[in-house]
Amino acid sequence: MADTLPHIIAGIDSQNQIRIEVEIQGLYKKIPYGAILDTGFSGGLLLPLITAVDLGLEKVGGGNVVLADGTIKTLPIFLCKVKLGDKVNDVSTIVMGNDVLIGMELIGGYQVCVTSGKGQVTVEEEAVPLPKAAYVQYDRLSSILRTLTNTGSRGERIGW
Amino acid sequence: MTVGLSPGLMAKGKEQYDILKPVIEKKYYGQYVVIEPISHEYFISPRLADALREAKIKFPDREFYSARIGFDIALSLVACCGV
Repeated sequence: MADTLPHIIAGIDSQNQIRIEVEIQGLYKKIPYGAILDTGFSGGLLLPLITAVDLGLEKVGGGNVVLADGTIKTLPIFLCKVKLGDKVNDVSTIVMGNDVLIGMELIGGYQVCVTSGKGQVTVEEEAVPLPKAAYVQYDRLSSILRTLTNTGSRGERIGW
Repeated sequence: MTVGLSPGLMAKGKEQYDILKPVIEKKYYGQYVVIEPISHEYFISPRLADALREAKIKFPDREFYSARIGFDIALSLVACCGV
């Protein structure tokens, strides 16, 4: 029976958001949390100020961040450790909002499979990291495919 | 935990980034650069956290300017709760 239990707890909540159980390791304490997976967030972790103060984060500087409404804001950037499965990951962290989000930087070393209709989410550590050559960025791939199929940016066929 | 940024960090970092841009943009487009504005040393990695960690090991008491190469921004949040 124990073999069927998932190694990493993840699922879809009542608001249709993907939540993944992580352990956030700050300078003062560690807290377990069901963080929302936000694939639109390029960083590793986003925390509300109250959680960040409670945990204690290591400030490493700042950078410009594009917010959800398209505005650009200069924000402090922190480093934090997040345990997902057996692996402890260093992640870039920003402080804002009211919930805990995890982004693409954190899930880079994992395979995430979402079966939305069944409400199932499985997260597994990648046994062997993908070689760099196997990683193809979407914009590059779509551009190559459009060139090969001779279609425009909205998918319409051109020049035939 | 202090939240403010050192005065001049962003301006000095951006100035350094603009100087580095022609050198690094072609080779490292889409990766992250972390710049220490006093020594002008910089660290490049596909993951921002890795570049920051490397910079912090070398300069434990300094703060760094971060940017994604080719974009002038460090991070993006296109779908976030209430921000």
